[in-house]
Amino acid sequence: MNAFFMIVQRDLLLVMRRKSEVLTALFFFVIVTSLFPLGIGADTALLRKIAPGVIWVSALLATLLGLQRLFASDYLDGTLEQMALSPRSFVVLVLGKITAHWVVCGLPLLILAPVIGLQFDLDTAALETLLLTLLLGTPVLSLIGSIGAALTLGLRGGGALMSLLVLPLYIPVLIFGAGAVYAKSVGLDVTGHFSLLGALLILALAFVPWVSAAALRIAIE
Amino acid sequence: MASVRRVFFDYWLGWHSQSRVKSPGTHPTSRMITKLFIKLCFLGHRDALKEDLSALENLMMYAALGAINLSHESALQYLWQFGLRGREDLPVHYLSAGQKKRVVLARIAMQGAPLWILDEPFNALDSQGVQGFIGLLENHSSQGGITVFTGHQDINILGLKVLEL
Repeated sequence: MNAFFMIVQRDLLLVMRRKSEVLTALFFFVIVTSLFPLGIGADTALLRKIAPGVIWVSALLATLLGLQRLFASDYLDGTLEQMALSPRSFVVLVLGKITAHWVVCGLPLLILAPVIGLQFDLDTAALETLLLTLLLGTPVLSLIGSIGAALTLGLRGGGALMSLLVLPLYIPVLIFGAGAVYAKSVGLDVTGHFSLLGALLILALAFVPWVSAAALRIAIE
Repeated sequence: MASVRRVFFDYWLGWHSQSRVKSPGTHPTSRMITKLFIKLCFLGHRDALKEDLSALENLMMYAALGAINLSHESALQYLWQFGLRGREDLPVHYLSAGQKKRVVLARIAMQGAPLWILDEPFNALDSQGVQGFIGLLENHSSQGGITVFTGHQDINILGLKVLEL
């Protein structure tokens, strides 16, 4: 457990030293979501309808931007090798790195989402649902994305390949995340959506750290 | 790395051969590897320092990674021992190649593993740094430690066995 907090703290410290990398992803999210209302115009009924999809797709892409750097810098300077050789559990260290990535790339989206939602004229109930789906869904994005990041580590042009690998795996999260907000706005029951998102999160938490750690071991060897 | 790990593991089997008997070719389990890695300090091509962290923070990070209890004062002692007084709090990317190497040496000394495997540890070191490092190596072997390293330089170390590759 110590190793987990140590690595989270270290990664957050590194992010604080180089803020521009994180801010790029956040501004990307803000700008992409702002372009839609500007491009479509003041048709509030249409905006309300497309809001969940647009916000969720932007969140997917913003997470993807940060993923390329998840393991790359540690891989390039040899720190990843030292982590794999350390007596600490490598799986725990990988989970720590994924958690730090979520704190940096997922959590700020949650904080920004209500403001973004206002641009789409979402009401309070829909905003609440959006926040809850993002809270459950963005950790899944970070977790699944880490597999892609680990598999494409050290490849030339790995970024594009990673997007191709990871984006299809994001589809279930997108469907249930955006679907819940839409269902709420038309007055349907959303507990099913939340249960499925929660199940995805638990499943990803249980398996992904091992898979990513194995992929990283392959990359180092 | 796979073959390197195999070599480490064979070494580890030798280390423990007095206390337990293992058939050669046993696949290393993760618990065995964990036990082995406490005893191993590895320096690869890259110096494995985080450029955005200071020398002191790097050292503390490796202490935490190696499950070593390192106080702030003793971390400073290790850095001062390698002539980094006054540069403890500078981000590592401000340091020269030789100074970075000294931070790496401080890390090796701090980890205190019995087996050191070092890839060209003398690169980028000035003559004073080389002397300091030779002292560290001799001290290490006098305490029963083993060092395996590669290098281009002619170096005089007590008890050195040279393999021409």
